[in-house]
Amino acid sequence: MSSQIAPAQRPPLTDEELERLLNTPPMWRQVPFLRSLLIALGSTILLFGGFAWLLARSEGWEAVRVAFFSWPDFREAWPKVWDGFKLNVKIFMIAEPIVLIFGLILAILRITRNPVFFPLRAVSIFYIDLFRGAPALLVIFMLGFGVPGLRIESLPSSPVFWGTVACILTSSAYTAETFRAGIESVHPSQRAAARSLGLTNTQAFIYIVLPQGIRAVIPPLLSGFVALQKETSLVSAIGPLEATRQAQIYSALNFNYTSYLVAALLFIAITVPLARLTDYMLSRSARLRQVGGDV
Amino acid sequence: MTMPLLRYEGVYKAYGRNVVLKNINLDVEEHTVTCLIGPSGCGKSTLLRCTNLLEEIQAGDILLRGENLVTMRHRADEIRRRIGMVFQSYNLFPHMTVMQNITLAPRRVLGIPRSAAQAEAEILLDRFNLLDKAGEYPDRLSGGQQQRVAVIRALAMKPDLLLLDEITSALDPEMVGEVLDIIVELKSLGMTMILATHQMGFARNTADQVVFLDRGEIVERGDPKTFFDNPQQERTRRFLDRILTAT
Repeated sequence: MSSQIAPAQRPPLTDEELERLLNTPPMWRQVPFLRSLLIALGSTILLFGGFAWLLARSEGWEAVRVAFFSWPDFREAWPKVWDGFKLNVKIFMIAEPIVLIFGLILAILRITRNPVFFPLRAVSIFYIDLFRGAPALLVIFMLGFGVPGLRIESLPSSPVFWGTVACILTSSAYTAETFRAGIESVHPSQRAAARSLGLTNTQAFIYIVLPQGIRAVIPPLLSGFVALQKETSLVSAIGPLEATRQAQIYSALNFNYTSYLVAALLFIAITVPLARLTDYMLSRSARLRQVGGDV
Repeated sequence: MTMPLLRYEGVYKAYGRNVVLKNINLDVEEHTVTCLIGPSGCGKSTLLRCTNLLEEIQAGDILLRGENLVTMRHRADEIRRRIGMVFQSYNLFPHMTVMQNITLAPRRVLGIPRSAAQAEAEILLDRFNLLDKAGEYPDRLSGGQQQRVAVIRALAMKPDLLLLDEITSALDPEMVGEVLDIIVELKSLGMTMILATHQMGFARNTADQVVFLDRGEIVERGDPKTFFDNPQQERTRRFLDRILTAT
């Protein structure tokens, strides 16, 4: 019976109507966008304006402004701090590739199930527990002062060398765990497919599991880059004249802390591009996953 | 007496105390298609996975051309290159193009140079109308296309035997046909295949022998005509009634 009742009929849209529907103006000319823009602007001004007003009203503001935000001191401190910062970059450039390789080796040792490698696996777990738990600063002290204290002729005694080694040791423990998370995120069916084709366990790992595992953790690895770049400033504790140390020296000689601001800005300047790259990679991998989710 | 290509003798498989394959005895002759049917969890997939040594059996023997796979476990990689397997969920390698998926094993396992492996892959892709997809990554392909690539990937190793584990179960209905067509074509080329499947019409038309498994046991086995038209066992009849009224 119900099938005999005619469904409500509407005339189709004319070409003109359809055209108007599909031809939307650019986003920035639409009312909702303009409204959100105004609200965002208003709340930003209110928040930061209020914050600045509070700061300026505080009793010590004038003293702090002179001590931390002095333009002449900024210009004077810049060359020394910049010089020191080059050492930070150098330590980072040497440490990061070693961290990546060492971290990957640790991760592989940790996930190996072959009983022959049990001792190596145990060492890897112990190592990761140790260096993830120990504060980087303490490791830097112990290596920087401890190893040269042994007076072994063949070992270098330079604090830069031991500071770099300490950075590598702590950073590798974190990186190993990142790699492990990536490797374990690859679905076992991928390994089964590779083995079913006759690939050996090692081949399946190298060609199938590892490339997918690493791809999955590129964003957190980049976060690790940022962390290591900042960690290089801790090396100052055992003497090398890197950016933080230079800033400290300047402030001690001139009773002005603007040099710290210089060092901070330099670190930020180098880590922000890394952070944006991480964001980009994250959003890209999310997009790729969406494409794959059609079955 | 000639040996069949594959022979199962008294195969038992258990997960913990849960016996999932009970005394499987079955012959698979060369150039034939065997369809394994039965309710979910009856052991079809497990039998295939054991055949490819992805699972270990607790008792019994599996003979490939008279060679006992069970005693050759330490040479599992060598056996697997002679037995191809295709999975329900395709399991293509997402970080590789179609061409790289197909040529990986011939190059790394058989040591065939890249150019020769690619030339052979192109012939296979062309035969199954996928040549234009050679440079694509799997996530750009439809389910049916991905599964056809997975079949080609297994074929590229020139296996003696192909195991197909419910390869149409994850597909949209309109894509099932294109995958089953490949199986029919492979049969005409003389490929020996064992399929776990829910496609009864396909089993009736294409299989040389149909095997009904229930709770880990072979309940009935026969040529498709007898099996479907005149099943001997009560359990088979009940299963077929349920399946055929459902579809």
